[in-house]
Amino acid sequence: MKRLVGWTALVLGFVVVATYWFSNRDELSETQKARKTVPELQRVDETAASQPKEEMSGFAAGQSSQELGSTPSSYKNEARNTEAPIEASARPGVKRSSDDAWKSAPPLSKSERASVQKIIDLAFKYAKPTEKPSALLRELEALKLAPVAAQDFNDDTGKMVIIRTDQALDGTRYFHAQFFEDENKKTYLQHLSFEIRPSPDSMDLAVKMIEAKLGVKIDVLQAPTSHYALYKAPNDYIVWVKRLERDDLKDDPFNARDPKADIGTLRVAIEKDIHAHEHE
Amino acid sequence: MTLRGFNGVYTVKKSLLVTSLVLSLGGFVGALSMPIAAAAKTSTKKSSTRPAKAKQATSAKVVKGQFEYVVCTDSTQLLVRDESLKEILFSAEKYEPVKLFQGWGENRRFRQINGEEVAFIKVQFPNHEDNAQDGIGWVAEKMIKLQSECPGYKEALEEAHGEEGGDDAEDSIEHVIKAAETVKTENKTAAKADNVAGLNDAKCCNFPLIARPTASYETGMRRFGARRGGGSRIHAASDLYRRINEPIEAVASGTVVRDLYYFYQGTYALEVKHAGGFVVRYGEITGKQVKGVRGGASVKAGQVIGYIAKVNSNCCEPMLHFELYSGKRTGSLTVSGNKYRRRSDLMDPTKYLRKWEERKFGK
Repeated sequence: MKRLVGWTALVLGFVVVATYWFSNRDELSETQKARKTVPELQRVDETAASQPKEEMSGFAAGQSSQELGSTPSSYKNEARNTEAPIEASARPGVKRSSDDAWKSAPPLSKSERASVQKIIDLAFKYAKPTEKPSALLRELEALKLAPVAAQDFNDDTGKMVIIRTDQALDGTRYFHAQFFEDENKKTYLQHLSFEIRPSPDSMDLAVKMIEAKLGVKIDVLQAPTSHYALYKAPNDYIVWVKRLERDDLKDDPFNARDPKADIGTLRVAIEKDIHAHEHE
Repeated sequence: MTLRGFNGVYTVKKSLLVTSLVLSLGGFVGALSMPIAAAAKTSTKKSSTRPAKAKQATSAKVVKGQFEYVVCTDSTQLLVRDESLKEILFSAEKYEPVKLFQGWGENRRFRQINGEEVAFIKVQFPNHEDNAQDGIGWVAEKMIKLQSECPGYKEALEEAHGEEGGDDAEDSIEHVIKAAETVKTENKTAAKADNVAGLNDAKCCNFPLIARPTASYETGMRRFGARRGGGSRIHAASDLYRRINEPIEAVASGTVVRDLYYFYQGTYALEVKHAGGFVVRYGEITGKQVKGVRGGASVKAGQVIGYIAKVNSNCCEPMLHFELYSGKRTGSLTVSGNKYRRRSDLMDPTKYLRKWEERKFGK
């Protein structure tokens, strides 16, 4: 009997340890999967570097090699397979991509969804009367997004701070925040926006996350469709989500956009309800 | 071998029992402690990514001026290449504004030039967005800087726009910074409004649209003072309805004190301090920048300074959202704390607009 007890205890102990070990192995493989883009990036760099050394012909006068230093910035560079169908259509002789190409793009991955959640969390956190740009800068730094702030001041209409980031979270880009300082020296967030890569599920995801932040009583100004949604948010803010179509991609003074590849990009913004438009 | 009992004499089997009990206990405790340790590690990691307390300085880059990248080279032009980095697509001028691509897709490449690895980035030039490549190409990364970090940019801008009125612009380095596309208007009232002493000057001012509004700005939701938000707010502007992408004009000479910024539902705003000291916010315009109409630039009465847009909710017709301020206060034009949600020197523009419209288009 005692022998039986002893052996049972031993086996039980090993079973417990083994169970824990195997459950963690799945988590490790997920992490490894998320890093797959790094080997792809390295392959692109190696291709460029392995080209035979050659002089650039027709280089602009005065642009000697001395002027061109290798000054690596912190730009994120991801070669995504999702670009393949669109890039293929850009090759000579191939039909242009249709305006609905985003519908066949891969759905957002787990890490991309997490990125969207992080930024929506930030947006709602700072859409309050008392939040300061310096605090946002620190949070963006902590996320390793390499934020840059431009402080623009004039005697007539005061100070505006624009914060953007050199890096972007997976599946997102163009984080942009505008803070103003009013005549009472109060600083407030006037606008915060970002973009999500074209995908068929981005609108549903963004709407779901925004509605979760708005809570139980959601003031819908325009019910969500596949292309647009508009909500009233606390503290005199509104939140809108827009799927960018061909005409929407032009003439943004801050965000570069490819009119072929970026159709279907989702733009999410929380901003002061400056105009309080009402339907007539 | 049998166990003789717990009388302090250890047999082999008793040792085995004790060992197995210890092992299983150790395994159980170890299994329990691993998630706790992992959670502790995660919480440590999370706490390290939590924002630092308010007094801790940020090491983020902070610059003065507007958030705009420009071409910053020693030469007068920068060649813009295709994605192979071999073919030249077009050239951009020194100090020309440029936007950097970010996010999904490949936005950075390397190429060997004279034995040196050079980084190229994918960019878009707003001044070339109408060309065959939509203004998109690849340039050497080192040639692009924020305007405040580009040596000589500020001086070049001041030279190009001149000290007053911009009349000296033609003598400045216009080959480097393109002059504003001024629409030669036959509207004589615009010319007269160039050097007004204020809103009540007999010469003031130019109606900001190229044609009469398609709906009255003195009635309905379009008028200044209309109730909004069920009465909790009051409309702080006159909404001048016209057609999308139509030009808007400066009402008088002045200086652009704030360049285009994100204003409302996908539209933009521009802030101009006009001769005589009053300030106008031209809101709900497109992001298309008129060449030369930038922060710090001088503008003339009747000069095209932007284009009419439409908010993305499609609630309303395209319009110019026209806000007028006396200029006697400072600080941002939007505030909280009053029903207009505007700075305290906000004015009703209706009577001025009516006068300007009549002068420009007749009764």
